[in-house]
Amino acid sequence: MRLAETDRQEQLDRGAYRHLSLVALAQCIVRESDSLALRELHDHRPAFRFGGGNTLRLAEFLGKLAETRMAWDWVGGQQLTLDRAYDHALAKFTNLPLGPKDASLVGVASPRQRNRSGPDCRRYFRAFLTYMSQTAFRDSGSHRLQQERKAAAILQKLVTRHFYLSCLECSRSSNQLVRRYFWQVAGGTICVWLPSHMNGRDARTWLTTNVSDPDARRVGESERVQRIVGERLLLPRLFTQGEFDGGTHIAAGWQSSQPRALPEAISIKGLAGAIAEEKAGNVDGLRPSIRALGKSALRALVQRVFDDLASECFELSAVASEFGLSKATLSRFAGTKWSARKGREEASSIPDLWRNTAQTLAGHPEFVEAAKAAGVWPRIESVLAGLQEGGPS
Amino acid sequence: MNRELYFIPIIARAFEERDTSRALSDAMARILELSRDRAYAQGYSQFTRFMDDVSRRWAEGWKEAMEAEAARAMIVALGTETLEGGEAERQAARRMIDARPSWRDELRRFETETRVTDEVGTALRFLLKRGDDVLGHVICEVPGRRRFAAEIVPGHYELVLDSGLLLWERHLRARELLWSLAFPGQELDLAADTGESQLQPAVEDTALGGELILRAFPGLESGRLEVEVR
Repeated sequence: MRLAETDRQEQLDRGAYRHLSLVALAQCIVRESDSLALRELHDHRPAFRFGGGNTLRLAEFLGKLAETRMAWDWVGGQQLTLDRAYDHALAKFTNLPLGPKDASLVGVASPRQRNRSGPDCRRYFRAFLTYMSQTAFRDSGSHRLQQERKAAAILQKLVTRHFYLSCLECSRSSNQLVRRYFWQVAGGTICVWLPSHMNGRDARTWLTTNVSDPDARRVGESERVQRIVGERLLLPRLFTQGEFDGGTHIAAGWQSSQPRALPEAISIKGLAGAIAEEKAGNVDGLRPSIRALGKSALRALVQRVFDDLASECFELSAVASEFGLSKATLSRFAGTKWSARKGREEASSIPDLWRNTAQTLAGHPEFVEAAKAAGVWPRIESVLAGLQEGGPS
Repeated sequence: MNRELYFIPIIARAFEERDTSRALSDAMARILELSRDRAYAQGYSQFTRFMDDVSRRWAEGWKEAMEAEAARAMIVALGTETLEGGEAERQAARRMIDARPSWRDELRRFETETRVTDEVGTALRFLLKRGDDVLGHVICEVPGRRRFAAEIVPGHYELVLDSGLLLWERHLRARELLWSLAFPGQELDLAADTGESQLQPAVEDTALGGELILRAFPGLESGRLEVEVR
């Protein structure tokens, strides 16, 4: 009985909204913080499509997006980050500060509660309305059915884009090497990502010294500041479209493509074990005489070299003999005395096992940070310059 | 200790410690400390070459990551039509994506999976509902095509766009759907059942400022509903 009354009340509440277009609903949300309009949009407007299939509501569409391989790539294969990105994106379109129509909550909710934390959906629906006014009405003229269809298309694109941005945001948040810093400047606050080891005072000092004329009101300002950070700190620079084609700059965040499982593999198996496993997994790419050992013997050889170095008893000829290799072959694979070569040949003169070790350590954030902190990390500008010149392969 | 590779076991040992970060810092300090001993000169020289290689590989990895991320940002911007700039920028972005097959495939996949309503086809799709029941879909090409729904019996009807917008609703009564009640004493032109006759409808409503016209035609046992999109 109570359920029936609730249904009837909901029908009455909905009545005024059922005839409203997506644009009109968004206007109610933006201008009046109208939670009933927001509910109508979320609960009763299947305005989205995924893969040309059936119509979906916003949350359902986001759920489909979150199941794609693309989304998995966007968060670097981290399920927890993906879940957070889904929640974050949904909040962008559901989180509404209380408005005048929320009579039942007026007087109950404190001013703090009335300004709920998290994204404000009005901002995103305002962007939708702006985009509609710029393009859709022009494209579809005064034909309201076409406008409604165009509105659904634009809203879907906006939701998709913001889901992608939420994936980036959540990936950065979960990256322990960087942290967000809110920089107070003229015109407001700029949010910028900085190395996590910088404290607030260091961050402020660095930004003040390196970023000229910051102004939060300027369009694209946070991207400009982030780009300077990327270029000048020992952080990966931000990549720009201009580097491909001289086109417009597009700011991108950073997110390592190094296998994230690598640090875990090292912590479980140790450095030698992780490298042995990696070598055994890529046995086809090795020199023929080493490849001939087979996976199992190769694993044992790598472990043996590391163990002997640790126990200070590494004898190249003894190990070579034990594994049926020539001394020269083992020397090329795991030699201790590297020949001195210059320029591009320098790296190739490092024996294979140690080059693999370098590759493995390059993917370990804590190792990289420790090297930077100890001052044994080469200046990144020279490294990048080497890459752009073709550098050693 | 093997002095040429003295740094390898020092680093490897650090990864066996519980607090890896601290152990690695200590390891770096130890490597530097030993470098002051002339006996380790060759080993330290190799360590600096080793670190050059580590940092180059790190930078390569980051550059690749940055390229991939820039490409992803571009794919999303292209796929959602939110790329800043004009047609020249859009074409430049397209060229960039097309240059690498894996990116091109990703853009195609993105466009396929997030294909939006207005790209599915030109037809408008409506749901015809009686009460809470969906009677069926009415598909109209624009402009000017008419579509019919048959066997309309008295009840409350709604026409809803497939994206959820309520376009029209009306309670259709027996006298609007049954010929004998709508036009008492008049003969039913049977050709009307084929839709070829231009009989007067018992009901004619307009919606959306005249973009949509709905007409109810009475029949012998049930009526027909005509949807016209203008």
